[in-house]
Amino acid sequence: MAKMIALNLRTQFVLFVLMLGTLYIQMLVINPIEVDLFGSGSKGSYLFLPHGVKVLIGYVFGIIALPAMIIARFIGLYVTMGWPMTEAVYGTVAGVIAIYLPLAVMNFLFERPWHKPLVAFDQPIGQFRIFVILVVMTIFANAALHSSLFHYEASFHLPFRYLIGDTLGAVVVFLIALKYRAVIQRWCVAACPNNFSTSDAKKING
Amino acid sequence: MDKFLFPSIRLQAVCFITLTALLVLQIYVIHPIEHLLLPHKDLDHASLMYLPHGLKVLLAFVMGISIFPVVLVAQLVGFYVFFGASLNDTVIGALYGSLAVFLPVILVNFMLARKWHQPASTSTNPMSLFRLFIVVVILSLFLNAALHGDYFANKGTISLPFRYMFGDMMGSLIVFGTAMIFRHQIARYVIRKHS
Repeated sequence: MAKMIALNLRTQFVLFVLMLGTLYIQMLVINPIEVDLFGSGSKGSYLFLPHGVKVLIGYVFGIIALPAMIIARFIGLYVTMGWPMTEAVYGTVAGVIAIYLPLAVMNFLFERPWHKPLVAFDQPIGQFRIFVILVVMTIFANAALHSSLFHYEASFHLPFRYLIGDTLGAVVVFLIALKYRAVIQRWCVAACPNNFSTSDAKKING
Repeated sequence: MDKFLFPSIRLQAVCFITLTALLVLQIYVIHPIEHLLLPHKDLDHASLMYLPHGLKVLLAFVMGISIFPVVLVAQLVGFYVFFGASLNDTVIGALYGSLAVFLPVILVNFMLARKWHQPASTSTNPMSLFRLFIVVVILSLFLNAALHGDYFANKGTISLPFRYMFGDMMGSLIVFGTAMIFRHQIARYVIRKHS
């Protein structure tokens, strides 16, 4: 059984700020544009960036990013978005499950410890394909769990808004991450060296 | 098997009859029992043991996209004729029910860099087929719960998506367990009949 080594506080804080920052961008920039374009009728955005960030963090760091994710999500829902306590707690739990359950399932598929990040270079399958499957699985889980949360406001197109919004959000975040992948990889190796083999770490650090 | 080939008519008929029979069993046997034992407002929309989902996943996994028309038609007949659903609910339910099992297979094929229509069960990847099947089942659970949960949200309670997930999971477990018991006979039959 591979040992699970906790992330240091500084990295947790950086991840927390990243997730909360994306949520603020979503609320202050993307949502108002969407309201202007499509009206303010329904829950669910057509470009939900925070989901992409969460998936990427889960993919790169695995379960060790859980504390940062829980706190960022709860503060984001309860304080920033002003959800009632019950809904904020449910939304937090559902959002976290929607990331980590698919991650555990993918690890199960590859016969690896359930908590490990999927970022690795020794898979027979391409990393891009693994990431896409993880994204799709998290999107399905998120849509299923949130359709229960917004039960009373449910409409025919709500799950599709979730599916499209989370997909586009993940694509945008993935493209940004791809552009800055060298920087991100170096930072990940420095923050969590046990996720990478020595040869991979050397390769990343040049 | 790179070319897209439909299975023989006989095999399609067998699959259609099996799926329709399971839908009938669900409607006339499991549903009333559940109604007596575990009555719930959502019971008319989501069972806690939905066997047809397990069979649909298994068919999609073993036979690939070529069995899509059979699954779709069997559900249309099952919902409209036997369950007495409205035409709208029948069409949406059958479409969602089919998408929920075939989309995961397409995704798994994409992950394994195979043709989108191929059966996931013919993968030559060293990855365990059992694990691959579990992934397909879980993907289909979430997708089915998301799609149906919202479509029937106004008629059901807050627990509806969870009932979908639980029912589909139980159904998949039972069907998969049964298929495991008779796996040699099933494999021999499918190999003999699948063109």
